[in-house]
Amino acid sequence: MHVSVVQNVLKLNDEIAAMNRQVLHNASLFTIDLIGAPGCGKTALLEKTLQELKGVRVGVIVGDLTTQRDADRMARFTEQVVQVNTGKGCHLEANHIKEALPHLDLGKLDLLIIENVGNLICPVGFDLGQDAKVGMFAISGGDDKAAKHPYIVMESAVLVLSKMDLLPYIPFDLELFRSDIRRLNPNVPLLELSATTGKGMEPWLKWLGERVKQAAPVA
Amino acid sequence: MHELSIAESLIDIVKEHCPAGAVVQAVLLEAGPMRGIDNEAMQFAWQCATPGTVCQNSRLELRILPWQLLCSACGAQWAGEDIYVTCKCGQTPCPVGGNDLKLTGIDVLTAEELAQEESNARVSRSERAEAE
Ligand SMILES: Nc1nc2c(ncn2[C@@H]2O[C@H](COP(=O)(O)OP(=O)(O)OP(=O)(O)O)[C@@H](O)[C@H]2O)c(=O)[nH]1
Ligand SMILES: [Mg+2]
Ligand SMILES: [Zn+2]
Ligand SMILES: [Zn+2]
Repeated sequence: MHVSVVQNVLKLNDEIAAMNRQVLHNASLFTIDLIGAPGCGKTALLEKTLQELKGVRVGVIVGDLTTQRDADRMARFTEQVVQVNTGKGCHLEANHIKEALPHLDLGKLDLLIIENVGNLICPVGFDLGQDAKVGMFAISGGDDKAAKHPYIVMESAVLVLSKMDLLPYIPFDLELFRSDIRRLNPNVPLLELSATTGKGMEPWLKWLGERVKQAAPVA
Repeated sequence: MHELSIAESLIDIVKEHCPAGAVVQAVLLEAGPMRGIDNEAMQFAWQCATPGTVCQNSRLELRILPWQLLCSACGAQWAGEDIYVTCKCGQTPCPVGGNDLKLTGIDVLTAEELAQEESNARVSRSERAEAE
C-alpha cells in the first residue's frame, strides 16, 4: 500500500526554531546566525565587533564540534557566552539554541550572535530562530567559494568577505566573486573587511547597529 | 554529515504516518538542489539510522530536484541541472527556491497485506506438497 503524505522533513526543527524566535522577540533581541567555512575568521570578526560596537549589549552562542576555545576568546568581551558542543553534529540545530537560551540573561541583551559550526553547507538548512543569517567568506578561501555554495549566498541577509588585508598576497578575482554573488542574490549587501586591521568594519557595525535599534522596545 | 540528522528526522515522521502493524518497504524523499544532499551519503546515513526503527530494512528513494531558473530580463523560466548558464536572451538567470526537503510518500505492507501474503505462501506450500 502506498501512503501518500507530503511533509517537510525538518518540521520539528522548524517548530522549535519558531519558539526560539518568539522568546528572542519577546526579549526585544536582534539575533544573527553567522555561518562560514572553518577558519574563515568568524571568531576574529566577533572579537572585533564586540570591541567596537559601543553601547550594545551582546550575547554569544558558539557552536563547535568540541573544545571551549572560541567561548574563552569571546569571554574577554562579554560575560554572556555559551559554548555548545555538537559532538558528531556538523551544524547547530534549533534544539541546541533552545537549550542554550536559559544560560543567558536575555533581559540584559540587545544583540545575540550565534557562531555556527565552521561549515558552509548544512548549517544553512537548519533554522535556529535567528532574524538574519550572515554568510561569511574569506580571501584565503579562494574566489570560487560563493559560486560553489549557492545556498548560503541565497539565504543570507548580508554577506561578509573577510581577510581583505590578504588580497595583495593571494590570487583572488574580486570582480568574479562579486558577480557570482550578484547572480545568485542580486540584492544582498556584500561587506568587504578585515578583522585584523579593522578596515571596512564600519558598514558592518552600522548594519548591526541599525537592526538592533529596530528590534529594541519603543521607549 | 547533515544526511544523518535528516535521516533521523525522516524516520520520526514516517513513524507518525505508518499504519499500525504495517512494515515500511520504501520511503520517498524529495530534496531541492540547494540542500547539497549527496545520494551516496544519504543512503549510507539511512543504513546507519534505520536499524531498530520502523524503517528497518526499508529502501530510501531520494529524488534530487533540478534547479528552477528565472531570467528577470525576459521572464523565461526553466529547470536545469546547472545553475551557471546563460539565458537564450543573453542575460544570466537567477535560481529560485530549491530548498525543499520533503517526505513525499511511504510504501508499506499493511497487516492485512502481510496476512494475505502469508496465507498465499501457505497455499502454495501445500499445493507443492500435494504435487509431490
Ligand atoms: N590576515 C587575516 N587573518 C585573519 C583575519 N581574521 C581572522 N584571521 C586569522 O584566521 C585564523 C582563523 O580565525 P578564526 O577567527 O579562529 O576563524 P573561525 O572562522 O572562527 O574558525 P572556526 O571557528 O574554527 O571555524 C586565525 O589565525 C586568525 O588570526 C583577517 O581579517 N585577516
Ligand atoms: Mg570560531
Ligand atoms: Zn551538518
Ligand atoms: Zn532571458
